[in-house]
Amino acid sequence: MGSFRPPLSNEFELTLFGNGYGECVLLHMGDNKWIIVDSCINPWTQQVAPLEYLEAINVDISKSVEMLVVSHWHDDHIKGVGQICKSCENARFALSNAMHQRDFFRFVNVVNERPVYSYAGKSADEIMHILNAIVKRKEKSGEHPHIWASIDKVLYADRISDNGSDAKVTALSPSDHAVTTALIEIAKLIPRANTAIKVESTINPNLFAIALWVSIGNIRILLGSDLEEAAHPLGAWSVIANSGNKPAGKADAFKVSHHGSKNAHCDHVYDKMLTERHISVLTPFTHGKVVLPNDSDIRRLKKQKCSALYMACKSSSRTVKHDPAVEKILKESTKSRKTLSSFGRITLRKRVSSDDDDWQIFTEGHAYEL
Amino acid sequence: MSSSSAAQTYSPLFTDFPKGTMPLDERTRRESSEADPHIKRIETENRDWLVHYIDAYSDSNDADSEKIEKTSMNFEINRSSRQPIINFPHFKEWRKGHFVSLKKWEGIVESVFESSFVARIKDVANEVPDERVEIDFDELTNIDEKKMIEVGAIFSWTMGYHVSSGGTRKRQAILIFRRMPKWTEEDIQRGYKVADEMFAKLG
Amino acid sequence: MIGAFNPKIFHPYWMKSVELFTDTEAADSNIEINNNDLSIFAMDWMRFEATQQRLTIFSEQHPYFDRIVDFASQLFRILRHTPIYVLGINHHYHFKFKDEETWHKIGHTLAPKEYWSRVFKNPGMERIEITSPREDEYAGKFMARCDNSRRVIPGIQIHLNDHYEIGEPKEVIGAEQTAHILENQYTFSYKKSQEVVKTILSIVE
Repeated sequence: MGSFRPPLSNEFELTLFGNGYGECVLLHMGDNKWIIVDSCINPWTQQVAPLEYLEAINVDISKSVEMLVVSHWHDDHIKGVGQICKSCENARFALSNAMHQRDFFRFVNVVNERPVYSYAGKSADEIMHILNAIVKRKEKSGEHPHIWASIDKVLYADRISDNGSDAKVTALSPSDHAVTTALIEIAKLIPRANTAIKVESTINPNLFAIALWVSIGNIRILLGSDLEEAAHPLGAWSVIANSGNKPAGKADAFKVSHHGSKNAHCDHVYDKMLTERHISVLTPFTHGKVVLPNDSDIRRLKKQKCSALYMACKSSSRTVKHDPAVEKILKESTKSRKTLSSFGRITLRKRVSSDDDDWQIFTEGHAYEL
Repeated sequence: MSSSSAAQTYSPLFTDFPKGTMPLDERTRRESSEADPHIKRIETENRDWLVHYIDAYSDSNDADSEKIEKTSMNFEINRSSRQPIINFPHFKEWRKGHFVSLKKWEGIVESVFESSFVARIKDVANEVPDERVEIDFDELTNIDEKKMIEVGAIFSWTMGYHVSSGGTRKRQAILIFRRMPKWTEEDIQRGYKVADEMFAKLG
Repeated sequence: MIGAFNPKIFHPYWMKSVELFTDTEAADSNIEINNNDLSIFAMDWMRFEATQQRLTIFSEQHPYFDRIVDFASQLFRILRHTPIYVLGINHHYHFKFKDEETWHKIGHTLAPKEYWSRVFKNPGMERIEITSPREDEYAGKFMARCDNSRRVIPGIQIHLNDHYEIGEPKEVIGAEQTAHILENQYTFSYKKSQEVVKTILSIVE
C-alpha cells in the first residue's frame, strides 16, 4: 500500500474493509474530511482497519476524522471503535436511537461488571468506550459530541470548499417502529441475578441498525449496514424504498446490507434507490457453519442490475502454519480447520461534480470481483 | 467409629469468625441466614454465629467411605488453636512436573453438533489470526465438562509439552471450559448505578 | 489469601456438591488432611491448602491458571460471608541459562558489586526483593523477587506477588470483594508478571 495516494480534496472515496467476520466503511467527504462507519480489525496486524489505512495514506486521524457512525452493536461491526474514539479526537459520534434509553445503558454497564471473560464482554466493552468518551468530551467542552440517529435525521452536512458542492449524510433507519420495539426488547438483554453469564443474546441488533444515504455533489451512495427486512412488519427496506420522504435520486454505489443475506434483500431497493449502473460492494460473514453470502445469495446478487459486484475479502483463507508441535496438535485434534486471516479492501473513488468521470476501483488483499 | 461417623455426616459445619468480623447488625444477619441456604444462624451462650451450613456429604453417595471418615472428625467449634504450626510434607511429592506452553488459545463455541462443536479460537498472545475449528468432544481434558459445551461457552486450549519431574517431554493439549458464574444482585446494582448516572449526563 | 476460614469446609466432595468440581475432579483429588485447623488436598493441576487464617491455591500447570481463577472466584461467591483481608496473586517463573556467564550477568546487573567487592572477595547475588506501591485504585503493593533457582542450574526464579489489602479485619465482612478483585485483576496481574520477567531477561538478551 506504500504507493497508494490519498484522495484529492474534491474526490469522494468509499473504502470497504472486510475480514471474513467484521466490516467497516470509510468515507472521504472532500477536503480531507473523513467519516468512519463501524469498525473491524486487520487480522494480520491486529490494527484497527480504518485507522491503519488512514495513517498509511498520511491522514492525521486526530483532526481529519469528523464522524464515527456505530450502525449497531454487533461484534462484527464494532471491534476497534474504542480505539477510534480515543484516536479521533475531533470526531462526533452517531449511535442508533435504539440505544438511547436507560435500559441499554444498564445492559452495557452490568455486562461490564464482569470483564474476566475477554470474549464475552467484548462488544459491550467497545460500547462502554464510546459512552465513556462521550461523557468525558461532554464534561470537557459542555457540548454533546453525539447524535442519536433515526429515520430521516441528517447526521452530517458540509460544503466542499473546492467547488461548493454539498456533502450530506442522512440516516434511513432505525424507524420509529424499531425504536419502539427496542424500548421493549432491550430491557430483556439486562442480565438477571442468579442466571448464568451468557455470551449470546436473543435480540438481533440488526433490527436497530442505521442504514445511511450519502450525497455529495452529484454522487449518491447507499450504505445498507446490517438492516434486515424484519426490522419493520411491512419490511424495513420496502418501507424505506417506498417512502415519500426518502432522499432524492438514485445511488451509484451500494454497500449491500447484511452480507447479501436473503433476509435483508428487497427488490424495491434495486428498483427505486439504485441506478442500473451502480457498483455493489459487500463483505462476507462466517459464524459456526454459517457462511454469508451463501451460493444462492451470490446467484441472486449477480442477477441484479449493476455494473460490478465486489467482495472485500474471502470468507476464509489458507491455514496459517504454527510451531510444528502446535501444528501437529491442531491437525490431530480438529475435524476441520480454517484460519480467519482473510482481509481486504475495496476503494471506490470519483471526482465530485464531473459527470463524465467513471469510478476508479482499487482492490487490495483478498478483495475480488464476483 | 463407623456408627458415629454416620451421625456426624449429617452434622453441620461451623465457621468461627474472629471477634469483630462477624456481620452483627440484625438486617445482615437475617438476610444472610434466610436468603442463603448455606448460611445458618447458631445461637450459643455468649454470642451468635453465622455459619456455613453444609450437608453436602450426606448426599454424596459415591464418595468413598474413607474420604468421608477423614472429613468427619472434629465437628465442634474449635476456639483454641488459632495459630497451628503447619508443615507441608507432601508438597514435593505432589509435584508432578510442569507444562511448557507453546500456544494458548481462547475459544468461543459457535455451534454444537452431536459429537463435535465448532468454535472460533483466538491466540491469547495476539500473534496469529483467529481460527475456526471443529473439535470432537473427545478432545476435552475433563470429559465431565461435556455438559458445559453450549453456544457462547468459553474455553481455554493450551498446547505444548508436559515435562515430568524426571524430564520426560510429552506433547499435550489441555482444553478446559471456563466456569460461567451467575450474575449477582450486587453486579446488577453496581451496573445500574453507573448506567443511571451516565444516562442522566447524556439523556 | 488471608482471612478467617473454616478449613473443614474445604473438601473436594463439598466442592463437587456446589459444582466447583466435576465428578472426575472430586474423585481424582487426593485428600491429605481435612479437619478444623487444616485442609490440604491436591489433584494433578492444583493444590489447595487452608488454615484458619490463610488459604492458598497453587498450580504449576499453566493451562489450568484460568480454571484456578474461576474456581477461586466462584468459591468465594459461594462462601460470601467469609472475611478475607488480604489477597495475593502470585506468579512464579524459573529460567535456565545456557552458561554461568549469562547467569552472573543477571546478578551483577540487578545487584552491582561496586560496594560489596570492597568488603568481600567474590560477592554474588543470592536474592533481591523489590517492592512498589500500586498504581490502580486498590490498596496494596507489588513485591517482586529474583532468586537463584534451585530447580534449574544455572538459572533464576522470578516471583511477583500482586498484593491487595482488602481491609482491616474489623471492616471486612465478606469475600465478595475478593472475588471481584480476582476476576477483574487476574489478567492484569498475569501481564504484569510477564512484564517483570521480560524486563529482567532483557538484561541478557
